[in-house]
Amino acid sequence: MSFYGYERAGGLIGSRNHVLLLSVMDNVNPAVRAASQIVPGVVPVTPEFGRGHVGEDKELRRRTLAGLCTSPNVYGVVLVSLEPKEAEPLSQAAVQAGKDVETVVMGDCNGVLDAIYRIAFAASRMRIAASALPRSETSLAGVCIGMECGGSDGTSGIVSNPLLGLVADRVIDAGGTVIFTETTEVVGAEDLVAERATSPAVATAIREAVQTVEAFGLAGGPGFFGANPVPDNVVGGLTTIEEKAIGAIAKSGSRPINGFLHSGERYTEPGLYYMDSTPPAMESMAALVAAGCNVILFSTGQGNPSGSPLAPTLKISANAGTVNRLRDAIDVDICDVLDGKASMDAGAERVIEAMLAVMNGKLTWSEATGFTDVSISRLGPSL
Amino acid sequence: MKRVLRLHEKDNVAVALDELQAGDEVIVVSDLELHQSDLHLHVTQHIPFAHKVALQPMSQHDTAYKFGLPIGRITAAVAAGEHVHTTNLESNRGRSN
Repeated sequence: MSFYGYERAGGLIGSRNHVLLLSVMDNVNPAVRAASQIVPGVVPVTPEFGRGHVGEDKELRRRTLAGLCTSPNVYGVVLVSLEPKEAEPLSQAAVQAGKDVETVVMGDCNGVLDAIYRIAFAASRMRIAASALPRSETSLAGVCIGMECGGSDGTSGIVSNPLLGLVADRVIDAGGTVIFTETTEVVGAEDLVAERATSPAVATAIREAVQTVEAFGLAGGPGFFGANPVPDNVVGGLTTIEEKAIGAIAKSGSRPINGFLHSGERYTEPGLYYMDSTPPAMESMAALVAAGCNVILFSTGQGNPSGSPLAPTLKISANAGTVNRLRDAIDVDICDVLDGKASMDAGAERVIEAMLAVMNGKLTWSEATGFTDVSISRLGPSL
Repeated sequence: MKRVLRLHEKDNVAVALDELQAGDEVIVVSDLELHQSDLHLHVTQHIPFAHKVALQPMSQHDTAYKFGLPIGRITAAVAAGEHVHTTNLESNRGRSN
């Protein structure tokens, strides 16, 4: 399985060559948005919050934003910050990863319009530099696939996720890396996941992550009811979190799980990883990209059209109603597998072919329509 | 003929691969690629596409099995061929009561 990717430092391969405009904190978001309206073809990322974070919450944000800056799909980054100190760790991480980096500090600018100009100038210069970079033929070793599910329904656990599991097995066997996540949606299936861990440390980390989430859900009073499964899951036929989870983890395939990652933590060696992150797609996709994913395979039943702006996100569905209705959001139709007219293997081949085409540069629907965003999870309030 | 999918021999619920109406006679398959089965089911309620239908009668407190694994407990008696969902099935996890 070969494709043409961008060679990055450390043997990593990019499937995209993005110029990222990143707000370090939300009080400069308007400047980043305005600059991205002036300069076409750049990726503005303007998450909320960013000031007054403490402890684990602060580390989660730093790790996730650093991971976005150092993504193998990113050519360079223009960091935008109110003051210089908060931008420093991100700038250092990006430079260490061999990225083209500039920082625009509002405090050094003569007003907001001046800041917008400086961001736009840096962005356009970077666009030119990025465009000169060629793609080279490469293999799947050195790339990382993120497995995600959203808008799940009764088709997800019986078709789409097991089919993604076959894809995961093939990617791992080809020397690539696969990361799956969404810890709430392991509740009820944690034994199935933990028993595949290659070390007791990984198994323990997985179980503890699930225990922490379950305890949090119980402490709030009504437990998971109304929170997960979400209303569209229920409309689509999923009744309990256990049912949803057993179906969800099928997308990780059957290979042993070599490692455990915290949310947004970058993987080290190739292999299959479990990452502890929250399920909602915008947050978990941001965490997958920060962890190093080049492309995201996203199964959906009822239809969740959202994608990542940095890692092309392919939507796969076996729900014919959804595929017909969301004409501008589903990338791979596997309804024929549900109907028994095509095998799981044939469906997996179709997904792999689509994935390789996307990694070569073909756009996904969410890239083409711009239906992408980034959310960074919070663990506590801003002080 | 309309099909429902029983994923594992331990399962007491199956997944509707077509939308089912009350009165439908369906076949119970163990694999998506199968279109014939000796196992039939008489459906007595409307079962939306991809929802669950009971393969056998179940009593309150029984465990519902899908994928060969427990997915929750039955909270109200269910007859074979009836819809299994939020009115008669609840989670055993993430509960506070």
